[in-house]
Amino acid sequence: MATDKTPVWGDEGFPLSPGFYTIIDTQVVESVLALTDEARTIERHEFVAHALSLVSTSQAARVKEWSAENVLALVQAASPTTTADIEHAMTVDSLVQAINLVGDRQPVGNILALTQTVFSISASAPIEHVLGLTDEAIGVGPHKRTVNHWLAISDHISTPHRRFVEDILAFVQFLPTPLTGNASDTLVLTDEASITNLAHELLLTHVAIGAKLYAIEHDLGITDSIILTSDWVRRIDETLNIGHALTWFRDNPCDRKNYTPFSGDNTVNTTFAEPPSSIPPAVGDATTDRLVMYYPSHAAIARQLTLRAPEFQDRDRSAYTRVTRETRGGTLVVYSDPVWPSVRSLAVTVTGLDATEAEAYLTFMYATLGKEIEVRDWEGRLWAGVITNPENPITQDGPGCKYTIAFELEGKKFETDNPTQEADTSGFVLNLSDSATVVKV
Amino acid sequence: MSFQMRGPFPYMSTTSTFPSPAFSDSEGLTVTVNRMRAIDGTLYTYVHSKSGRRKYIWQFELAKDKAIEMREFLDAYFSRLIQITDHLDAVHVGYVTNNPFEFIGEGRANDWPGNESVSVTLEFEEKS
Repeated sequence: MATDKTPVWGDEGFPLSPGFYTIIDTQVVESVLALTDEARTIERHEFVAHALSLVSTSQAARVKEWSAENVLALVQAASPTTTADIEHAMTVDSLVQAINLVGDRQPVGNILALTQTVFSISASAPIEHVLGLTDEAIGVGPHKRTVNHWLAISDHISTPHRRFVEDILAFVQFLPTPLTGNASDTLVLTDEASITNLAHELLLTHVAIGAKLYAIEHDLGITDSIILTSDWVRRIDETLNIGHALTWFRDNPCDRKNYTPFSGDNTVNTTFAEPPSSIPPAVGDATTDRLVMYYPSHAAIARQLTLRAPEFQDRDRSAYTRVTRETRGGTLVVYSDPVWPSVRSLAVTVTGLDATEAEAYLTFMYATLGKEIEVRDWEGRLWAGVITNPENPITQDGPGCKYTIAFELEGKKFETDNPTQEADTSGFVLNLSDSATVVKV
Repeated sequence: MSFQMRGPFPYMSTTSTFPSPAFSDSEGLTVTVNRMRAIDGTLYTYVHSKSGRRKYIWQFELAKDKAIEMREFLDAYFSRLIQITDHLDAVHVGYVTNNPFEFIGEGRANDWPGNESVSVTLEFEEKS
């Protein structure tokens, strides 16, 4: 820039400001403006207006003013009359966090709507349009009631042909060349659901429409997977035992404590099922195992609740359906059909739970109302059944870890451990035996 | 003395031996007597003697394993005739009649099979 005392007229014939004469002898004018605008008051005012407007203009040989004015916006314009490069990147992070305190069960909601538009008169210059969006909702607390997380993205590009595309949770990419052009649009969507009852549906519509395009590349990649965390293969055992036994037993005080059913004498009548001759195998350790409740039953675990072992006075009930009649002569007759139902139930009381465990228990009860669950008891035995008294309240017996719960499970107990997760090849077993056993008399 | 349960009667395919029941066991008749008094004050009684059948109630404190044995025995023969030789060596043939059977975990029993004591009550009625 050079100055002298000679008056110079502008290109449009208007005189410049007195005392300042500008001769443009370079093609580039750089203008950097750093501005801090601040409004403060120590007095009381009803209204305070605070707006920051920034206009940066560079004048060329032929005056064609570009201007941009906005609040909290930056417009940068260069003087070439036909082309302009505009690069506009904006990143907005919005983060809302809330701690879910006791008594404060309001869900955390976080909605972030961001629209970013780049508008250019001439489409001949490259336009870079970057939209960075982070939308996050975090609920902190022992119990996450509800966290709604809605993300809406609207990405618009207006072209000279007035093409307009708007969609939610969609990515639209246009190359708006008037006559020729290639459009390559690749959309990869992975939807994964790790839940028990797998209702996993993925709907994807991917459309590429070209009116005057010579080439269209339309690549649709879909990954839809269902992964089972366990694959239970039911054990099929069919054991045929044919035997004839003759047994004596010696009454021993120690035998009265052990599991010692003696089966024998004859095998003439086959309409009854003998009890097993051995105790069901212990699959757990009562000193270390806990009371674990699973949902759902016989499927991959979606919910799990672990409690301490219950108190004594647990009750293992076996109720049967039978008909009891007395003849006219007073003889008692009892009958039951093998297909008539029998009910097995387990009633337990657990004490010493803290508030979190008690609340987790109620949450589990509510989530599994009327549904079959599995319970691995403190001896490692597996039950499947329904909680019949979910309305039973939790009781705080004292300060601290003093919550007590009680429930009754009605269902059945598996005599063995979980169905194996591996294929069982043992299958069909045929045992034939004929033995005579003499126990010391 | 012991308490022996065998079933099904008369095949006696299974025999289980248990400790003697606890005190407070009971034994009683199953008879019923209905009293009707006439207008002149005469008392009439209608008796259902039930052939003198008796009903017994025994309560056991068993080791865990023995309780499982009793549960399996009852599960197999809850509606079948069984023979019981009680702690007095008296032999009875009849049915267990209580429903449900309730096995209650009472406490630790370190020297007992199963390391736990379980209580259960049986009600038994003779057949005839």
